[in-house]
Amino acid sequence: MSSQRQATDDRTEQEPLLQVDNLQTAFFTDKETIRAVDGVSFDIRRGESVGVVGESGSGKSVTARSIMGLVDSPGRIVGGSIKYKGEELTDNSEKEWQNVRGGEIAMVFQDPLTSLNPVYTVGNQIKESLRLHQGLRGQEATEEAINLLEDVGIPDAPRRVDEYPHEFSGGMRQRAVIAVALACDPDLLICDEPTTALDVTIQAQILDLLEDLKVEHDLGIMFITHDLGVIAEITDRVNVMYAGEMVESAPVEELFDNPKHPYTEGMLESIPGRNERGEALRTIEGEVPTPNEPATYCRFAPRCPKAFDDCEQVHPVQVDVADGAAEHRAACLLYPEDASQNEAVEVHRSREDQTEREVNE
Amino acid sequence: MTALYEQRRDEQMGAATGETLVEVRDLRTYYGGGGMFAGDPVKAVDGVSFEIERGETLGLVGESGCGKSTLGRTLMQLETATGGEVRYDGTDVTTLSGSDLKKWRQNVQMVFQDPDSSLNDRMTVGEIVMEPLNVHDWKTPKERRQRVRELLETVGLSEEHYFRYPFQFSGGQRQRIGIARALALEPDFLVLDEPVSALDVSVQAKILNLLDDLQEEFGLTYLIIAHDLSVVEHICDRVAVMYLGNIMELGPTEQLFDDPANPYTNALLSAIPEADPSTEQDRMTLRGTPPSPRNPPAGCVFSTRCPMKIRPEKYTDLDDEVWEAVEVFREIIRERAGITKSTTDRVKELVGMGVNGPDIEEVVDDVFGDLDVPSEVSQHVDTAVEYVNHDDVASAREHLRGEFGSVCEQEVPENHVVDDTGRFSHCHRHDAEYEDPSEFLDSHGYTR
Repeated sequence: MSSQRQATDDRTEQEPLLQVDNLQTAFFTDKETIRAVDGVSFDIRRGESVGVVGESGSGKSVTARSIMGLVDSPGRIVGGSIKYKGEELTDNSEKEWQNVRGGEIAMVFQDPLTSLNPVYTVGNQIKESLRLHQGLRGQEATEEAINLLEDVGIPDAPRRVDEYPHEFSGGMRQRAVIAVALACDPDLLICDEPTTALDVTIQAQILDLLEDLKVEHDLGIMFITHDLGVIAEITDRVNVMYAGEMVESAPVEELFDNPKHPYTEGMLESIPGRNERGEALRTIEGEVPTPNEPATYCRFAPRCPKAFDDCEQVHPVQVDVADGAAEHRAACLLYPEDASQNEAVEVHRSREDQTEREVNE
Repeated sequence: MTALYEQRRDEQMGAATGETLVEVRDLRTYYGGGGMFAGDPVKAVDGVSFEIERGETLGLVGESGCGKSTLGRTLMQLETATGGEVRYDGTDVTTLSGSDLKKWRQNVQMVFQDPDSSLNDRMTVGEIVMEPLNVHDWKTPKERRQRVRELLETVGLSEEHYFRYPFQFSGGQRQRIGIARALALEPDFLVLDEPVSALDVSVQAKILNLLDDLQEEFGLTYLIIAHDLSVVEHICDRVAVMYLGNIMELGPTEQLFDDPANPYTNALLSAIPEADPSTEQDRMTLRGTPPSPRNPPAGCVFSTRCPMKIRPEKYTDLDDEVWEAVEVFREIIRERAGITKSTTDRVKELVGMGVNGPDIEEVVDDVFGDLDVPSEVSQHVDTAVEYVNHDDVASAREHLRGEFGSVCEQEVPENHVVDDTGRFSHCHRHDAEYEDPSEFLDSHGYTR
């Protein structure tokens, strides 16, 4: 445990692999503007896996696609910055994006069947990536592809390399997708619900595999899921998203033991496994709103059991939940904990004004 | 069933009656096969027997492809059973047809997994919920409309939703519409096929609470099919664990989750990620994927993946890693034996351009690597390699099976009753002559 803590400290020292700061991605439709990602900030270091958790429509996947430069019209990144190894990505040209994608940042999608091309053999698809980014061809590429398949735990790789995706089972397909993602030795791996389509036993295999690969390749992993069990299992730090905003971020143990934001509390309480057998499950009233206007209030307030008048007036910003808890931040007017309620609200109001001025300038 | 189980039910909802509503005996559902040129049938459900009591909730869990949905659909007579019987209130429903079947169907309804595809987007909510009433010619149209309004109220929607279309609703609300439709004819028995797996946690909790309330109010009997074990643990009274068409273990939820008896149940439970980062568990990860139900393993269906498989006497002291490598190697041979060659491959072979498959020696190197393999093992591996090189994978498989196979691969295990609640487990290890699964876990250092 202490060595792990030590490692965490070391990591804090080094420069983050990815820094996302106040990222805003919006979709412009005839009817309205949807602020799918509205001021999200977090960073990922090497050898660390960071979880992003939230319900459907909370903006998790759009965050990931923004980092990969895969947001299509009518959507675009409207503000904030994404820095990878210190370089700004948001103003990249398409050509520059192509070098980043695959070579530096790779992505694993939810459904392994749709992310593989059914008319090419698995080997071919790995070789494509090797050819594009590393210039490997022919026998050399085939051998490398076999090695990659063996690395991700596919038995009988020399035979499997010539098979088509439909000949693979679900778990093996996801392994193959991971092999494609790893082909060019990326430093950051974005996993968007990689185990949602799989059975628990297969999910356990894939989680083990990702954990091993993280250590082996010193990868930074961004792990998007709605399954809190998976989050608890694999991540080091967690960011909770709600309606396009990041409402809480904390180290994983802290978040599960000591959730601060009322939304996080509600979500944890509604997991069947954390409730007594046979008891009624606790639920959060209402539905997730669509973020289609600038937030001048707390978007969770209408569903929040702890809401008070100011919640409708003041937009909460991310603050440390208490003095000295630098790793644990929440966007809720109840915090910082050690300030009185009025002071806390004041902190949020003034910080909000400041950011608004910055944006306007 | 048992005193303890009834007491728990009574405490909770007082709905247990101890009266059997559905009785399934040796039920089999096969797909395909039959014709002169047909291949082997897919044995989706292969001889299961159990009972469901009036007022209880039975959970059916297992990996995808294990036959749990087929079993549910066969109970509803949506699939034709190949053999065995399903007794509902004493009548064997597999023999019903025509108007008898239609009449019987009023008693049983189904809620489907995907609320997007199970509701017709061109019908209003009112029409959708009224459809079963129309089909069965229930009372007068006016009374039907009234009934639909009541139903919407019951499942937590409101009257104003009557004229809206399904696309105007969220996933959770759609699932409520599906439930209202299922309740329309006042059935006694509901089959719910993955009712919450398409929903977010907070919405899922609301639907589960609703199901619980409805059961209490109307005295419903549920069969819940799910792959999410935490859902099953929360809402079911008894749980059946399925693997490749067979029920591996069946018993009261509490006992089954707290002290799983069958190796497969153990593996399944240990694979669930705990929503608690502080628990470090030594997980029992299963290798590979379930074999094809077209060609299930002889003996115990779980024998190809079972981490607790009984070893032949002479190998009991073999190093665990070497044994594991042997198992992996056998799995590869098994898979290769199952491949049917394409026409091009066969033609190539005929004209002498034979593709013998990739090098088996390379695979052996990869599997056994730098393990210290004793000669008694390696000689048999070498024999198998020899067979493969002569393009006779089947003999290689037979040879390995003869050498490394045990009772698990030769005989179908019986259902052993494992405790006084009547829980049974389908495994050879419960035989007195072998080490019990729980003892095996303890002696191999797995925490439970």
